[in-house]
Order: sequence, then structure tokens, then C-alpha cells
Amino acid sequence: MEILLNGNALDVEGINDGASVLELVDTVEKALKGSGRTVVDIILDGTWYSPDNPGTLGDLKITSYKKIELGAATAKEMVLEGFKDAAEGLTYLENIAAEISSDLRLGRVKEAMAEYVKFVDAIEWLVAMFKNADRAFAANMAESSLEIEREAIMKRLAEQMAAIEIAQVQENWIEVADILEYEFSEIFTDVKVFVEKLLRA
Amino acid sequence: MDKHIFEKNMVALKQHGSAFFVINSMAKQNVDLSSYCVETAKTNEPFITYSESENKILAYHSKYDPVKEAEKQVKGVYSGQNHVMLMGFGLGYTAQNLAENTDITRIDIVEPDKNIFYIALKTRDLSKLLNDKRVSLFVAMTPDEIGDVWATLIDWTTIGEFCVVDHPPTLVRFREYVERLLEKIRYLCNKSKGNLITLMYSGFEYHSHNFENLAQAFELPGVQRLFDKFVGVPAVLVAAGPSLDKNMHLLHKIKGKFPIIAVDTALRQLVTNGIKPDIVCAADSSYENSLDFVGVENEKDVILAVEPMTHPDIFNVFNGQKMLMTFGGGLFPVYSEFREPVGMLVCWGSIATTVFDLVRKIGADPIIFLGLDLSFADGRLHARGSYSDDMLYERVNQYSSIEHETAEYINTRGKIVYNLSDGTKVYTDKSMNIYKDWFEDQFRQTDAEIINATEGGIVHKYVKRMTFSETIEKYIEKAVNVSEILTQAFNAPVKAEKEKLIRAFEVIKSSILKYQSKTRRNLSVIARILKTHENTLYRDVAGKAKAECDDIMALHDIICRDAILYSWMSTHQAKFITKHSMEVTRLKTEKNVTVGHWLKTVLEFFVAFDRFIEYQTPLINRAVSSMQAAIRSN
Repeated sequence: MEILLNGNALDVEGINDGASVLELVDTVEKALKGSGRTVVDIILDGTWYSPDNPGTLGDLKITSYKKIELGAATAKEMVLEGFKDAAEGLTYLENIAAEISSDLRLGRVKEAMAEYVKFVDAIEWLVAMFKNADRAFAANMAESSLEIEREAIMKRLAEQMAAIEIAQVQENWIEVADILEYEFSEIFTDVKVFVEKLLRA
Repeated sequence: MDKHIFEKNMVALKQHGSAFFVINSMAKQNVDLSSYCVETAKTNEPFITYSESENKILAYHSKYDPVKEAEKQVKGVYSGQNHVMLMGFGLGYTAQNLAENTDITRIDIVEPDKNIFYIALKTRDLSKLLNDKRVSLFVAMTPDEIGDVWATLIDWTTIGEFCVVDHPPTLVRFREYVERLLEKIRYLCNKSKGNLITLMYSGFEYHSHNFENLAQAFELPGVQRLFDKFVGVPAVLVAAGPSLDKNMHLLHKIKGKFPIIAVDTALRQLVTNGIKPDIVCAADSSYENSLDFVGVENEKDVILAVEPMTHPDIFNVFNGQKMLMTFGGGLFPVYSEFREPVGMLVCWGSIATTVFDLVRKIGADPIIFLGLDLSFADGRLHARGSYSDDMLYERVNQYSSIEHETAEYINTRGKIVYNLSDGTKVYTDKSMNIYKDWFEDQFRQTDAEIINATEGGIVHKYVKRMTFSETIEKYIEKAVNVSEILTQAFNAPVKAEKEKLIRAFEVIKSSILKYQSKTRRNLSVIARILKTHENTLYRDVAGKAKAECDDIMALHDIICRDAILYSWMSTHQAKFITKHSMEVTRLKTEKNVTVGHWLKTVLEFFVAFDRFIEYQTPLINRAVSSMQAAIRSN
């Protein structure tokens, strides 16, 4: 059995053969204490598992796997990675917003609402990134107008999500479609510009 | 709002076939625009919002780009169908896109809200759309009204390519309305398809029976004499479902007091149990159905209300009194002007539907149903002793029994299950389930109270379910002298002018022969043009060939427009005419049609027409001879 942490071989002491993956992660996190890092990726024989799911991890025995890859990162590193992958995430958001909008304009409310749940998840990811942007880019933001832009984007995101909620309650589906197709599309374009500036600064 | 636009739209609307309905609906009540707001979208196009309350506002269109939105809507649902129903008009963006960018042959526009349509006329130039012959407008009409008009416009040969385009705000505001309309449309489609299939299988029989029964039928008093003769009187409609065995004995209690009107399938059981219905209805063209009258041919106290397409054996063997009813087809358009009114009744596949319409038209209230199971019960299809038993007996061999054959029938057909509120399960088949939908739809639209005293079955909606015994007790005070009313209606002399009808047939016969001679002459012309111009595009053909093609097409169109002949041919050759209509519709919409495509299609039509005439002429001759014989014997 091979155990890797951020690509480097790891020799874990105090773990017996019958230990669960959760116990392994706990042991590694104890060792990482003070570095600011936490385990963010768990890949067992090529399959990714979330560290936020202790129930599942507690049932998995480390001896069942040939290769265990752990990824650890600081909050700053995570935010930085998130912003680097932002283009992909934003494309996903744009596509899903267009799909929901199109379904709503055709009266396919049920299908649209099923997709809308995914949209909300992805927006939560975006909001989380923006909220934590200062952890990775505090210096850059302090010396430019980026902080003001960040706040403006977050405000717009909150406003449009609230507007969608009101329209949804009223079953005003064309309004929901308009917000998703036009308002969010503009926000996503601005987010892309913001991210480029942030990464360049 | 632009006054000029409104005037322009109104000029176009007044030319439109649906103008009466639309203008009438807008005039019925004054329009109220207080809840509507017209605004300008970012593209400068108008859009509309509707405020149901302070907290509920619905946008009818995109406030950014309503034209692009319509384009997306059409692209999202339209995939080459030739008939579309728009469930909501709004300001007309989607309808315009459909009309301008597709090869669609028919667009039905439904707008439940007259105010919205009025605003659309005031706001946008819709004159081109309103002038479009493909567009039908259904504004502020009830689903039933729409269904009734829609059914008359329907082209059943192309209904398979029909689609409905939803409009989200209309769906939100008028959910029940939209659902009801869709239910109605589904149901009309089933009906049309059912009719077409029945016609394909039985059209030949209908047509021949009409001629064979004409001499007798023409002289019968019409059931119209009974219309409104029993206003407010309870009437019992007896169908032949298996539950009839439970309570038919109670009919004795109301005999002579409430009119009893039965389907032909129930006659034998009723008579066997000592009950004579006042009227029994028959309209089935099949020989099998004529077996219902075996053993009850001499029931002289029973009036047989009969449609001329019924199997001639029924006309010939039943010795009781007869009255004529009509479904409006067959020879009715030819003879109706030469006799007293017949009385038009609805026919929806089962004779029980016709009996129901008769009971409704005599004015009865309440209408009490017996034997309307529309499901299997106790391992039986019908009440004991009906002709379905006879038919199943024929299948019995030394290894089976009538029960075995019936069970096998039910097991193979009874695929639809109803779980009743008392926990029991009832099985039915597809056909009976469609009849159930029909009855419930009609009950909803009937003013008279409907009581389902079947004491079984699956018909629950829009009826009061009571036992027959309770029903009698409740309504017995409304009893009348049924026999007196019927005798009075029946005995007046029948007004029927046979000589005039004979002359009308002579005229038809002469025009048939004229058409026959012309089509035969044109067969050789077609063959000649095909040799030289088969692959020429029809729009490019010129000179003498063009003139000849035009003549051939004109003859084809004249025959197709001949209301009597074409309807006879459509009934007699239903399969061919269905195929031909589809082919003509296809050729009319295709761009590169050659002379060969058109002339071969018309050639097939002429050949079929010739075949039809060969069969038709003797039918007319026999009918005329029978009528002449009747005149001589009088």
C-alpha cells in the first residue's frame, strides 16, 4: 500500500492495518497542525472522496486500497486554486443558467427547477470564493480598486438571487428566465474580468 | 397605445374566419385593463406584465428581448409539425415567429384572456398574422367552446403531426383551463382517430346500408318529434353492462311513469325479464349487432329508434314501431329537405352515447343510468343473455366453457385497473375507458342532473351515485303518462316527399355519369403528358401541357368540392381518400414537385373515382326502384 501527501510518499506512524481512512486523515491532520493546511482531497485507487464525509470514510479500511493519495492545502492555496479554475466554473454556470432559462420559457418548470438546484450550488461556490478572496489576495486587493469591485459583484449576486427568489414565489417564470439569461450573464462576464485582474495583480 | 395600429389590426381581424368569435368575446364584457401594464423592452419592443395582486406580478414576455425569446421558444419545441396550438398569445411574438419562419399549415392561437388580446391589438401590428389563412383564433372561449369549433376544423389525416406550445404565464394564470383544454384536445384526437379507423373498416357497410334502408327509413317519423316532450321528467337510460342484472327488476316500478330508453344490446335481457323499454336505439352497421333483435322481433310496444346505416336485417326483421334518427351523415344531406325533421343525435362509437343524447334532447331531468359499468364485473362483459354471450358461445369447444372464453377475453383486454374507494379493483379495456372519459366530459356539460344508478362500474365524475331503489323513491312524484306522450308524438302522419327525392337522385346520377366520362377521357391525357413531362417541375410546365394539366387539376378539384359525391366517396373509400388527402397536402407544401408527382396522384384518384362510380350507380338504382315500388304500393 502506497500513501502519498501532495505527491510525496508518507510514512504514517501509529496506524495499524485495520485502521479506517478517517483515522488516517485524522492522524495526518494532527501532523499538519501549525502549518495552516488541512486535507482537502482524498483519492483512493483513483476515486475521489470528500473529507467532509466522515461517515463514509469511517467505513473504508486503508488495507482495501493499493494507493491512497491525500491532498493538503491552506485556505489561501485553496482560494488561489479556486480562482485559477474560475473560468471552467463560470462556463458551467453560464451553461446551466442558459439551460434553465430556456426550459422556463418553454413552460418546462419541473425540469428547470431540477437544474436550478445545481445552479444554486455553483453560485454558493462562487460566493464562497469571493468571500474568502482576501485570504489569498489581501495585499493585491488592498492596493487597488479590486476590493470595491469584489464587494460590488457580491452585492449584485445577492440582489439577483433575492430577485429570483421573489419571482419564483410568484411563479413569474419569464422574469426568472430573464434574470438568469441577462442579469447573471452580465455578472459572470464581470466576474471573469475581475478574476483575470486579480490573478494578474 | 397607437390608434392607427389598432385600426389596422381590426381591419385584418374582421376579414379573419374567427372574427365573429373574437370580436364577440371582446364585446361580451367591457375590457378591463387595470391589472395590465405595457412597458418597453431593452430592444424597444413592447412587453406586458399582469398584476394578479400587489405581490404577484407576471411577465408575459422577456423585458430584454421578446423577439429573441419567441425565436427560442419556437426553436425549442417546433420540429417540423404541420399543426401547432399556441397555449397563450400574449402580444403575439411567438405566433408571428411561427407563421414567418416555418412551413406550418395551421396555427391555432388560444388566448384565455380577452384583455391581453385587446392590448395586443392596440400595441403591435398583427395585421399580417391576422390575415394569415393558416391562423385560427380562440380568444376568451371556454375549453369546451374551443373543442367544439376545433373539432369542425380538424384535418384528421394530419393530426398525427400536431404539437402544443406552452406559454408559461398563461399556464400559471389559467392552469385548470389549460389542463381542461388539453384533455379536450386529447379526447377529440382520440375521437377523430377512432372515427377514421372505424370508417376505414366499416365505411363500405355504412354507405351501402344507407342506400338499402332508404326507402323504409325515409317514411319513418323522426325522433325530433320527441324532443322537449319530457322536460323535467326523470328518464332511465338502460345500458347493457353486467350490473344491469342487479337492479333491472326495479324497472317495473317506473314502467309507464318515467320513459325507459335502452341500447339495443340490452333489449333481449329486458324482455326476458318481463320489461319492455319504451324506446330502444340501434345504429350499428354490423351483422353481429343485428343479432340483438333475434327473439325480440315482435315487441310491438317498443319503439325502435334507428339510424339508416344500421344493418338492413334490423329494419327488415323488427316488426314493432320505428322512428328515424340521424347522425347527420350518409344520405341525410340529400333527403333532409324533402321530409319532416329527423332529429340529429350524437354518435360517439357506442350506442349508449346516442341514447344519452336522445334522453338529453327529450328534456329529461334527472337522467338516470342503469348498466353503465364500462368495466368488467363478476367475470362478465355484459348483462346475461346479450349478444356478446352468443359470440363467445361460438368459440366454446369440448375443452372450454362460456366462462372460460369470457375470462380469457377479459384477461387479454382488461388491462386498465381502477382502485375504488371501497378497496376493490375494477378492470376495464381501452375502448370502454375512452367511453368513460366521453361520458364524464358530457355529464360536465349537461344541465340536467345525472344519476348513476348502475351500482357498479367506473363512472364516478360529475354524477350523483345512488341505488336505483333510492332514485325511484326520490323522484317517483315526477311521474308522467309516458305512453300517452309517445303515442301522441308517434301517430301524426309523416311528411315525406318521395317523388322529389327520386328526382334529386336522378340529378345526382346524371352528374356522376358526367364526371365519369370526363375522368375516363382524362386518363389518356394524363398518360400522354407523363410520357413527355413527367420529370418537369410542375411550376415550369408551359404551353399546351400546362393548359391540359390545369384542366385535369380543375376536374380533380371540382370532384373534391362536390359536397355530396365527395362525402360518399370518403365514406365508401375511406382508406384511399385518407391516403390521397395526405398526399395532396404533402405535395402542396413541397417545393420541387414535378408534373409526374401531381399527375400520378390525380391518376390514382380518377381510377378510384371510377371504381366508386361502378359500385355507386347500382346502389342509387336500387334505392330509387325501392322508393318507386313504395309509391306504387301506397
